[in-house]
Amino acid sequence: MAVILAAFILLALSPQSATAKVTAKNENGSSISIPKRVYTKAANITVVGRNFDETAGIYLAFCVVPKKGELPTPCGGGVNASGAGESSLWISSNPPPYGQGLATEFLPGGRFQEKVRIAPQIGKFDCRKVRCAITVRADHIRGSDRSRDIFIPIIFR
Amino acid sequence: MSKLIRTLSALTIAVSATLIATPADAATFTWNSRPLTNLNPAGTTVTGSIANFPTKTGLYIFQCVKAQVAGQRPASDKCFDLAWVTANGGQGSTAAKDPISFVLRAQYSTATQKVDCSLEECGVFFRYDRAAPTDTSADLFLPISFTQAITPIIAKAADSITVTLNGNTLTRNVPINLGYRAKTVIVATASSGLPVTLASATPDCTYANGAFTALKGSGVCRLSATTAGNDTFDAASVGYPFNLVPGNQRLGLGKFGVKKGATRVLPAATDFGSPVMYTTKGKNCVITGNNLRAAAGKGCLITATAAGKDGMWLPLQSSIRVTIR
Repeated sequence: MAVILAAFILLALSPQSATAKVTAKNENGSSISIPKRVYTKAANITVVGRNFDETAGIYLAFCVVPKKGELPTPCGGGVNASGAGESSLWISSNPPPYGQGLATEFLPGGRFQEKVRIAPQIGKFDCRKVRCAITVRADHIRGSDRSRDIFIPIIFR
Repeated sequence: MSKLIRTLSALTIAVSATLIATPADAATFTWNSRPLTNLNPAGTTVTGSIANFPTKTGLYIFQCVKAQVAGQRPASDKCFDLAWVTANGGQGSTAAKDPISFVLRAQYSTATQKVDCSLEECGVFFRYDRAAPTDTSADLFLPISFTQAITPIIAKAADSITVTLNGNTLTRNVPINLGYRAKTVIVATASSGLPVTLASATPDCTYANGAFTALKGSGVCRLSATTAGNDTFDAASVGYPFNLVPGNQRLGLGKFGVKKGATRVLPAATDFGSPVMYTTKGKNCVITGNNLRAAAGKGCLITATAAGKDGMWLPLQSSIRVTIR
């Protein structure tokens, strides 16, 4: 809960225009950045991650923002244990054997730069009516660890 | 005379591949069945009969390990119940007039022992039942043997695994230092020629594509190497510990030349992502952020610095010579 609050507070305290770069952090100091947060239609956006713990895998996805403290879901592409999808990516430097070759490794220093597909609709959810966000969460190996969650809400106009 | 007759009788029956066993001394009955040799280790059903069944009481039949001292009964904890035979049957016993069947196996378990008749001398042991537990006059031990072909006991050879890191042989259970994100090439071989499976046994390191990589700059990791074994070699498993130490970040920039008046963009970050700060003395080169402009003279020396990260990597300080053309 504190993590989500922190992420949103950070965003709230950083007034940005529709075209300004947006960054959010979690309590571990990991951060993600995107070029802007306001879109009019589906797009592929570049997400840059920094200072992640390389020993813990994450999912990077476009998700409906959950209630505070809850697992982000649903996400575009769902839990992507099969590797990279347009809306959901698995990033891990030490995946279990079945994930080797599927997960994308962190760059040295706990960084990544990946494209994520965002769209106004996630399943039956309309991101013009509900809050949707570029989301980082711990992968399924640490599925209940909410301390790694990061959200950058995306606005569709 | 009677002994001679019994001996001749036994010889005759042996030739016809049928066993007739008689007690060496006191027992007066005879056991008739197929030979009790070259039995299938996995289990051979033996069906036989008892002639001249004793009148005193019934008989127990066991599979036992032969007594270590001649004349003694086999140890009861190394005997497996096969049958109980009484004159008229009843109460779970087999009638003496009926066929008596049991299965002999090379390996069996008693309440307290595991017996392997391919390693110990075993036999079928007859004795009076509980009505005459101390009467040994009916005791009879008939040796049995099993074929070796079906369950040969093969002593497998030990497999030996050798692992090298960047060409240097690792010593099992002896830790060496491994820097965060240090480049490694792991090569593993087994004396058996079997494939060696390598894996990181700890979460702070990862093994993939022939490289063992530290994901932290402190703590310990362990590389495991295993072979699966086969019919000839035992499976093998060894572990190689590593002490993790801070890594050395790199700039990816060596000496270079630039035309007078031109600007060169320098790397903004190290390979670990740390921002780089450049400085220079004199006025030949002018540095603004990560841009270098060749202003005058024949060259300059620039210094690149980047912060370290506790428990991960060391600070960087590097001098780079710039030639102005």
